[in-house]
Formats: sequence, C-alpha cells, structure tokens
Amino acid sequence: MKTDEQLVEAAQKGSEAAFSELVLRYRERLFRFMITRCRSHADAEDTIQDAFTNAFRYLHTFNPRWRFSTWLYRIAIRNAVRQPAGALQQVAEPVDDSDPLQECIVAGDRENLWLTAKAILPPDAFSAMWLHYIEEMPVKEISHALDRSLSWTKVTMLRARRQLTKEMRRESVEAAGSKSYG
Amino acid sequence: MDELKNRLKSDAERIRAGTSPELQLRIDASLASARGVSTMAVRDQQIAHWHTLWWVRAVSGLGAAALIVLILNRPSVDETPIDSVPTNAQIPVHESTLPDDWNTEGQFPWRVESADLTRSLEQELIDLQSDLDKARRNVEGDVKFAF
Repeated sequence: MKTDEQLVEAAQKGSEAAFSELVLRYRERLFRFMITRCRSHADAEDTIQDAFTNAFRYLHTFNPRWRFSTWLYRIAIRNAVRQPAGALQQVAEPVDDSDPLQECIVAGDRENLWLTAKAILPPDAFSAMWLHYIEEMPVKEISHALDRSLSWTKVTMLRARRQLTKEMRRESVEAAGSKSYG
Repeated sequence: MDELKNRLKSDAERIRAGTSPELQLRIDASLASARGVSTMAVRDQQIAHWHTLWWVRAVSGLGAAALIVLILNRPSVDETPIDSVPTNAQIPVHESTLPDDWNTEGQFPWRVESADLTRSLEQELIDLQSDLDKARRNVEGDVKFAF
C-alpha cells in the first residue's frame, strides 16, 4: 500500500489514479470532520468537493514538510470558514436549524461527549481536539492546519481538555446521583 | 487524561456520517474541470516561458554584438601616445618641397584676391539663385532626355 507522500508525488507527476486514491482515502474521514464544523450535510459535502478541487489545482504548491492530511484539512477548514452559513439551503429549501452532528450520532446510554464539546468549545478548539484524538495529528500539524500559532494550539487544547474532563466528571456524578435516587 | 481520550474515541465511533453517492460524481466532475484548467495553465506557462527565453536570447545577442563592436573599436595598445607626436614645427621639411616664394620665417604665401563687388550683396545673391535655377532646369531636361 502506497503512502500519502508517494501518492502525492505520483499525482504531482500527472497520475490521475494516484489523486483518486487520495480522494477515496480521505473522503469519508474529511466528511466526518466537516460535519462537526458545517451547518448541514450539504454544506459539508460542498466544502469537501471544493477542498479536493483546490487540493488538485494547487498540488504543485504542496510542501512535503507537512503531511498531506494536514494540508487537506487546512484547505477544507478555510473553505468552511469562507462558506456563507447555509448558503445552499437558503436557495433550495428553508433553513434547517438541526445540528448535522446530532443527526449522525447513534443513540446510546449517555450523551456523546463530542456533542458537549461542540456546545461548550469554540470551533477551532473543537477542531484541535478532533484532529488530535481522532486524526491523531501532532500538535504542530494541528497548529498548521488551523493556521494558528503553536503556543495558541497548546494552550487551547489544554483548556479544552480541562473543560471536557470537568464535563465528563459532572456527567458521571449526575449519573451516579440519578442511580442512587432511582 | 487517558479516560478522556478513550471516551472521545468511543464517542467518535458513534458518529455515523456517510457521504451521499452523488458526492463522488461531483468530485470527479470538479476534478475533470480542474484538469482542463490545469492543462491550459501549463500551456500558458509554456508560452510565457518561451517568451521569456526569446527575450533572454534577444538581449544576450544584442549584448554580444555590442561587446564585439567595443572590442573592434578599442584603441590599440601599441598606438603612439599623443604627447609623443611631434608638432608641425618640429617636422623637418625638405627644401625641394617648398614653394619658391616660401620665406624662411615659416609663413605660407596665401594667394588672396580681393572680391570686386560691383553690385550689392543682395543682387549677387539673386544672380546666384538665378544661376542655380538655370542649372537645375538643365539637369532636369537632361534627365528627361535620358529616360
């Protein structure tokens, strides 16, 4: 199996198959991430489409110093920020206030912590946590993807971890309380 | 912190988000369009590159020509310096080349004749112009005759 770097190199030399392989590799992962940042499924799909198109168009500017995933996420985040809120929905159908992340969550016995995180954290802090824990990106790569300084990323992630740990403990205390009362 | 990590990972697995079947078609269409743009961009880049090369070649050629002209017109190193050239007075003159009425004081015997102006200068000018016109008419007549 070829690495991302090998595929990027082949795509830079003109291999369409190599870039298609990269699209297949990152399409679903990127969509799952963009669902957390966009206002609807349609917006998330538009953002991904633009991200892959821009990545293909500017592939010659890709700096191998960073991972391909970092570069791709950076492009996608920029697209998401530039995209007007619910732009397509306003044209096609009435604005839907439902959270696309909430719609994708499988019901369980406890509340999904990512939903809590989305409610209490700023968007970039949420993204930093997602990229670190789900995409397993190093902090340096996260700071590059978010176009933030390294120190900002470290401090933001530390604060976000504290907030989420606090929420998690509060939730477990409440659960324990309800059990004892129940 | 490990507890948080495990919780975040397990909760992320509960997020079931899938793209629509149309998305891949849309991405493929966008990429096909971008490929066309990229091909045109490469062609434009090649044309720009060719233009740049043309300018570089032209400037290099002109520079080389100017350099050759400068080298050819450069004064010879062996040329005698101006200071060492003898002045006119220092050049010995053979006796036989001098005119008969050459005096020894070194003055050239100018043969000067004073002009006898019988009429005003204005009239002389008019006469000269008339002579010139006459000569021009003769030449024109000769030309017409010849061709």
